[in-house]
Amino acid sequence: MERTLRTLTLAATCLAAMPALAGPVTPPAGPVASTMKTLDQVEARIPVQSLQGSSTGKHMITQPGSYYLTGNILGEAGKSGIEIWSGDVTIDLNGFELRGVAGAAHGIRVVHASMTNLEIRNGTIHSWPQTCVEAGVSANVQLRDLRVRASGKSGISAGWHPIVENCQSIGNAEYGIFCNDRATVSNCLSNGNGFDGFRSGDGSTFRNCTASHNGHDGFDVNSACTLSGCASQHNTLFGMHLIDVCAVTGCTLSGNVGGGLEAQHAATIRGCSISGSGARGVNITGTGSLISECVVRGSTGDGIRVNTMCTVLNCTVDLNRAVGAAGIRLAGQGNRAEGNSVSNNTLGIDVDGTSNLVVRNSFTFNPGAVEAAAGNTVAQVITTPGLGFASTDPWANFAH
Amino acid sequence: MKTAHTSLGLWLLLAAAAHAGAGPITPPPGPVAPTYKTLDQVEARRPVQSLPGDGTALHIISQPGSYYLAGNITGASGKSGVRIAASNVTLDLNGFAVIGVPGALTGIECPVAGYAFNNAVFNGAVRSWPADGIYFLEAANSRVEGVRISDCGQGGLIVGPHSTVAACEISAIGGVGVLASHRLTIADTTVNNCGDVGVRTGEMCSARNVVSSYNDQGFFVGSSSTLAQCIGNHNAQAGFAVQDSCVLTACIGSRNFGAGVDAAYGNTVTGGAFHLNNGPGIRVNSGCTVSGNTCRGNLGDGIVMHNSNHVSGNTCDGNGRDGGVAAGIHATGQANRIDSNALIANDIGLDIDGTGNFVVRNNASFNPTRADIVAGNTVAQWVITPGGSFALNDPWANFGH
Repeated sequence: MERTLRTLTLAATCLAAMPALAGPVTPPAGPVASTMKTLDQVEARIPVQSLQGSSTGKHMITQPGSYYLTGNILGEAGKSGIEIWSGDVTIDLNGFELRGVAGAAHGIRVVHASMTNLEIRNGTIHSWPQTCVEAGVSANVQLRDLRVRASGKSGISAGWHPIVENCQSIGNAEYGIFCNDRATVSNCLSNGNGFDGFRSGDGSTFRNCTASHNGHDGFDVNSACTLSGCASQHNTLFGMHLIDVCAVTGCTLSGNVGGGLEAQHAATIRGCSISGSGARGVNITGTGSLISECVVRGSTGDGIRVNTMCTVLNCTVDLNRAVGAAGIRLAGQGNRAEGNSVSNNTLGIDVDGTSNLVVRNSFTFNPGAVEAAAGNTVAQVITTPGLGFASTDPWANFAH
Repeated sequence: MKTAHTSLGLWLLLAAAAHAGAGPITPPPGPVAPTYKTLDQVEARRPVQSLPGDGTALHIISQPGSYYLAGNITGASGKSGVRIAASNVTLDLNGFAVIGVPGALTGIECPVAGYAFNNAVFNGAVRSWPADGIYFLEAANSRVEGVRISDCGQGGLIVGPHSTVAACEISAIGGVGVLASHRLTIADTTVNNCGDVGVRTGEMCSARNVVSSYNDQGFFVGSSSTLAQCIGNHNAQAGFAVQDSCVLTACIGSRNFGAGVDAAYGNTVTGGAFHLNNGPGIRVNSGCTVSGNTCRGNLGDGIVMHNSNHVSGNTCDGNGRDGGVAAGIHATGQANRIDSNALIANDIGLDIDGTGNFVVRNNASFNPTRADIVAGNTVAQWVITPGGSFALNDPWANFGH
């Protein structure tokens, strides 16, 4: 019996060995290596939750690289949720939330100005006693697809020349989205914040952004900024407050308590609708601005007021009816009001300063068309000349 | 034989021990810690399919966090697909579809009393739900991106205030395609074949590069909205219906059964094209600026307005087609300024019914009736075919040629 078993075992071993003998036995060239992916290759990024913290941050990122959340992060008193101590860092919130608690600090904090080239995306950050995203000292920060709200300070402080896209910042105690110079901000929304909805330094671009019900201005931007396709409504101060050399195109501003738009020098404002302002619709406090093809309607103060050397061209100025207000007011010197339709205002155009030019405007249903101090150039106002009129005066104003 | 086996085993044990002895045996400093990722770290998000439902939803997300689909979800009668009952939820459809069946309810819903906040859905399809595709009306600050919604019985995508919709495709919806509360930002989205309005929003909507076609109405937007580079074609009513203080820039509305644009008070409509509509190309009420548009081949007027509008630099061509009697520009009210427009081959070039209007520097040609204007208006003389090299000392004249 034992011999039979041995024989069978030997036969089975030989049979098993036969296929192996059929193939090559020479190993492939090169060192021995695995042919499967490791989990670290499948997800090469580093989980934030695996990172140690400090006395000021629940998790610290100290090396360049790509990081992601593996779950929600709940704040701790005295600490920020994530502190960034390195440049060249990308954080994917991975759809999770960072939620602050009483006594905590920032949601995400960039610690030092040398820590630049950062990206934070895809998640929610809220209820932090300080700022939800505090990158104010940094530069070249990209923030995308963030939903931010209810911070004790600002929603987002993005630093120098950031790109902010598709972010919402709502109900924060201070600024909604605060950028330093040369920011690019698009498709963002900032509502119900204690200070400005959007605030930026020089050379910034805003496209398709919305600001409403903020405690200060809807947009408060410095010099050399562009704003297009933006909406600003029901803010406590101005819908838009600009410094110098800004261009505003195709925007709508309504119901702003402190006034529709105020700019200092060299603004270009084109194709906008500005209505229901609690003070002036447009107020240019400085020099050299152009306001064209806009609708300015239903302001409590002047429809459009310019200071010096500005042009108001082809605008529709209607229903600005406050006592003492005018559809268009040329307060200083060297302004030009041309080709505007001015109707239903307390006074059509009021020229307070000198050396202004008023030509080719049309007036209707204003108690007075033009009141101008001495020393201005105002084309004659031809009143209801009727059907088929002829005039050789190319500069005449008309009342009809 | 037994001795031989014992010797062989001892030899193997010694060989193994010698190999082990070649490396350090001192453990690394610090506490013992894993050196590899866990599967929960590699995919930290939770699969929706692992979540239980209730009598009216297949799966319920009840906690903030990040979730994903691990496969298609097929509906069940009397239930919605996914219910989000929390704020701060991100749902990645992961390229999969949430597919309804007859008798089912809504694809993805967020019916939170009061409001939920900061929820997001992206990257997949939602189709064939008898009620709504996505219902987020009680979810503020929502974001929906890269979702294809089709064949739903009621609404396609319904979102609450301050929401963002981007890169979505919505089609074949029984009711409204996109219904939003106030302050919607919508971009790069198409909405087609809806039984109600394609895109309907409250005030302060911002729309860019949105196409809304073959719906009952293209766009219906609330006050203080901006629309840029949007298209509203082939709708049963107007291409664009806008309330007050809106800005339309470079939009196109053509072949609608209503007007191309139907706008109320204080709007600006610039640089657009509104062609072949069965209503007028552009209809504005009062206090609007209408400039630099083309209105061509509409069954109604090219541009029709009520009071106190500034209409300049537009080209109105061939309006009143198919036997209708319409004008290139038609003022029904008072105090409008009609300046520097081109009126060509319309039934009537310029039709002024009201008084107190100001009409200068327009040109008209090939209109059977150049102008039909009642008394009480200010209208510059019409200079008719003055010929080659003409000279004229009237800068305000209208021209017939």
